[in-house]
Amino acid sequence: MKPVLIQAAIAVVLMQCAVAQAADNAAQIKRGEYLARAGDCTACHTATNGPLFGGGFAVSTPFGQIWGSNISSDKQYGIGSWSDDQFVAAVRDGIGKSGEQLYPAMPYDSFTKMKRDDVLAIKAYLMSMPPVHQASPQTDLPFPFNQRWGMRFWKWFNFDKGELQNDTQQSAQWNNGRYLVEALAHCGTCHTPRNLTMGMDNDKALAGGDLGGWMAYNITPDKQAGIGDWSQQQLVTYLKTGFVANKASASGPMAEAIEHSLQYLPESDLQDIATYLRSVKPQPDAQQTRARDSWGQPSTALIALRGADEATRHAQPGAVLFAGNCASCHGAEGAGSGSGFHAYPSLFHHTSTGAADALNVVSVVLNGVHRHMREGEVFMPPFAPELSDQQVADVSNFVTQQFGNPAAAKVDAKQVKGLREDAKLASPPIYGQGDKP
Amino acid sequence: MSDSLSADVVVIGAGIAGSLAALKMANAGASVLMLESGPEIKRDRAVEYFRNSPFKGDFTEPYPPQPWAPQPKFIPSDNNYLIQKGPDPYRAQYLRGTGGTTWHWAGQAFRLLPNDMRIQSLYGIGRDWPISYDELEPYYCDAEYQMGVSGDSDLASPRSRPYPLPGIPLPYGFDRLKQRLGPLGYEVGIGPQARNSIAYDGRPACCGNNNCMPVCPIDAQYHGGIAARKALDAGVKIVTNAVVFRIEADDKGTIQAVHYLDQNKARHRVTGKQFVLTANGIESPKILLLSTSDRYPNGIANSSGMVGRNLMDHPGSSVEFYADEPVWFGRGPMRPGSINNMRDGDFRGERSALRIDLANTSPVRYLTERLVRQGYYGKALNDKLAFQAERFVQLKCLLEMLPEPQNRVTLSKTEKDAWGIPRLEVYYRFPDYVHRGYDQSMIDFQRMVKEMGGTEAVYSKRGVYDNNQHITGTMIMGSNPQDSVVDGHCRTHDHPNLFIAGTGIMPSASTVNSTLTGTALALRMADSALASL
Amino acid sequence: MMTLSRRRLLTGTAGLLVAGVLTQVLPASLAFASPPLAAAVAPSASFRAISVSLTGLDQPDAILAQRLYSWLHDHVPQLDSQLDTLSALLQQQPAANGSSLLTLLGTQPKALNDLYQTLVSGWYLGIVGPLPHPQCIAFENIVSYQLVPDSLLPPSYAPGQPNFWTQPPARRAHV
Repeated sequence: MKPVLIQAAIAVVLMQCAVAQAADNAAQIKRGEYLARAGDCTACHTATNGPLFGGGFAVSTPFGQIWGSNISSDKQYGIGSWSDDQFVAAVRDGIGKSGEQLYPAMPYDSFTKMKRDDVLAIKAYLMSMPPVHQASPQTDLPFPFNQRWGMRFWKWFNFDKGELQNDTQQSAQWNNGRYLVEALAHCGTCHTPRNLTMGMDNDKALAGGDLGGWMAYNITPDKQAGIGDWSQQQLVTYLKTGFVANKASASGPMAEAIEHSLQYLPESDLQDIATYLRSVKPQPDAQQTRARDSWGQPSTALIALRGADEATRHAQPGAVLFAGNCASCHGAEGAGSGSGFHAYPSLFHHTSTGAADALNVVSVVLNGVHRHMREGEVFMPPFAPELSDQQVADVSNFVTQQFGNPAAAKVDAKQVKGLREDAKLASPPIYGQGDKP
Repeated sequence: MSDSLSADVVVIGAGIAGSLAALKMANAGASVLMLESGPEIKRDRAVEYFRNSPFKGDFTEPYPPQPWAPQPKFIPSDNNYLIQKGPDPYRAQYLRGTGGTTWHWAGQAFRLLPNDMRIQSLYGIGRDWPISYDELEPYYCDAEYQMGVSGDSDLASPRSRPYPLPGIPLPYGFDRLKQRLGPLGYEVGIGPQARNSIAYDGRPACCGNNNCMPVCPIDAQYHGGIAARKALDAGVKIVTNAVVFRIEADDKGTIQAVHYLDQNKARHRVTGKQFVLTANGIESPKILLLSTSDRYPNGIANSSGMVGRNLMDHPGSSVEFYADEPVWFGRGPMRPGSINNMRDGDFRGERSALRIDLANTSPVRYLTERLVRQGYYGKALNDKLAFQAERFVQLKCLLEMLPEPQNRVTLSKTEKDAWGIPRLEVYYRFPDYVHRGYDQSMIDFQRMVKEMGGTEAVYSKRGVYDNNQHITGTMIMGSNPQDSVVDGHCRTHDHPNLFIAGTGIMPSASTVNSTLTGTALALRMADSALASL
Repeated sequence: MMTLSRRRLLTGTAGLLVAGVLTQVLPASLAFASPPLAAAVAPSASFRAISVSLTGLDQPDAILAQRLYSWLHDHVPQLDSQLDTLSALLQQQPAANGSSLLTLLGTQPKALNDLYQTLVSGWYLGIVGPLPHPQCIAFENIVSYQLVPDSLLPPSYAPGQPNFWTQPPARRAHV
């Protein structure tokens, strides 16, 4: 009798352990899913319209294309046969499974700040997702960048290893905010300027970064250069929806970050991010003489052009292009239209047009905007297929001159050409002519 | 004369039908060349031409023609592009340029009813199609997905695939009419439209700027210009400002080449293996009729004598009135909804079926012009305009025309255009069938006006009908080569390598806008042309 | 004759922004048909006063005012005295509107009739000048689109966000 009872007791305990284990596993996977969202792993590790975490996405860098690896649970092509230590080493130390140095396109200089348990939770989540049985292309940068051991030098200059420790002087919200900003969401990867060796210049943390085709703006609380004139709630709304009326609307890589990651975070996380951001050291910028969202006013240029003859129109190419291409949605005066989620933004009092550098205006004109949000699609078409390089320059300069920061109105066709080619965008059509087919 | 241009398939006319056919054939690996008589049309210029025009009601204003490719114009005066010879006018209006006339359409993308294709067998009038609805149905689906057609109800046209996009919700005022007219048996419903209800295919959703005619400023509405661009990007060579005036066949009936005039009146000869004619229901028969020779004294593809005959459109009757409540017509897209449950029935043996559009064109300009003419100004004008604009309702009924051989376009023997090409004469006469349809539309209109508490109702006159720019019948499809021009695969009976598609080959007009059907036929035709390569 | 793209036009003629050169370069049929705008002239007090009366607005649009007055200044001899005459006529018979106004105007010289028509057409529709070649001098700011606010605005401009039309306008213009 007794051995049966003991066996039964052991079985019950084991079962309870298994249930508890399963419950623990489920909780860990759920946490891992949340952390993977916050860290936006999918941004670099999922190909456009491809299977989740299957790799196949190329990150464009000045050195060439770096392929995000397959991090699905696949044993051959993904992380399915990786140990916990190997996974943590990759994420936090920038060391691959075979001990090779990883390019810091993988932002391990941010992820080093993550807690080990959090990294393992992400691993558990990834392992719970379907395997993608397909190799991601090998990264093959030109010499000397294909010498991975060179990353040791990069790390020597730029890599501050180590988990973030709680600052006991600060609130739990602030600490959570810092963890989200500096570790998980790795905002600095885009928003912190780079030094000569392309490491983050942490003396100027979050003072703005140049991503080639897009500017990641200064998000320190500086009142002219950064987000000093944003309220807490405005920041939260922006992170959640990508749009704050008469202030900002997200485009390019930030639109993607909001679409894939930030819109899914709980409201409390967004509040904490805002709390933290509003506390960092303000970084000034001599170029940005007034807050980016404080520029511009409604324009009468279009109404003045109404009924004008060809000579007058020819003298104002930017206004003419704006009238024919932009005013329908953005208003004849540039004030936008509508309200709510699908509103068309005003072009004045907009952080992109008020920035001292018009790069984002040009890139938005070329690429359009597409935010695939839970509430619906926010969509502006690309104009690369419609407008020539000179036309893009003309209309961008008109927009910044009329609605934004006139100092930024110096885009030229050559700059546009470079952006168009880098992003491999379309060009306007060329039809044959009857006399010259 | 230069004659180095050649391709597997030569397409004449870069409108929506030709361009989507060309796109399909290019994607299947054929080399395709499209010749377009008019210039490249650019959207941003068209938008600004509209805004700068003193004739905002003239839909051709955004599309100034080139001297070698004239097109009909009526405002401020009629240019008599078509020389009217019949008792009733045929006021076709269309565009010659890349993308064609759908640059200024209202995007209504209806399918035919299965019965629309069998009115001779069912009702003893008109002609049957030589193909069934089921044979055309897959091409309807393809056309809808290409164009991004939004809709909800199938409106009694069976579907094998759902609409690609959800229907565009009705404007407030339309909902009010739907609620009030429904109990009388008039079912107001969302119309199927080639207009994005959500972002689709790299184009935004409709924003309701109420300018579908004459140009959608944002390409939420699909049009031939989008199709032409896609064709170009897919590798189709498109030559603009190339006015085809002759199709050349050998004695065996094989088409060898087409000839065009350029901007300098120089001639060019273009060769190919298969030839496609999609230059619209008037310009296409013109080219066929021009292509006379000893072997083909009546022109190309015309052994039946039917080319140019059986000319049809949708004669339109209408009523306008002020409703007894504000409905604010003019907000949203121009043609979002209609009454579609009067399109079929045994009555079609006696009189035309009806389809009634609720016209959502903003009435502000029209009402202002009228009030100004009536001598109002200042506050009195403002008060009246505000009242009228809030309550104005216009209903437009499309009637079904029948194919009658004497209704036709023919070449003038004396008049030529600026490039020396003979102009067209048109003979047109409405049959009693249409007038009896008008009579029914008046009965229905009166009931609706009464139900809506309508005041100051103005009804259109019997015999005086709008033209709806749906050119059909002139190169009629049929199984008998003696009384038709093309067969059920859009191949001309007379020439094995000449295909015709678009609305001009339709043997019946029905009561729905014809573009979706013309486009589906073009996609079907592309399969035939490809199979012949 | 070539169809020039705007880009070629700009890079090729960057230094030649002169109307004469341009009309050679662009095919006449594609050039915007409007004649040059009249040189800007500040509207007179007579014009401003009658415009308030003719539009029923306390503050008619200033840009359209200048545009319309400048056109009239170019085309109407003794403009201001004509405006005063018209103004006096309307003030004598303030109730004349609609057919009674047409009757009243019918007793006046053609020039005064034409002036009245041009003023009303210019303000309400942005169109001036006789057939067959009238001129559009305004569109976005014409009076006819100011009167049904939030709802019936100039076409080709988005009045709101997608699907706004499913709801009635926020404000009713007329009870």
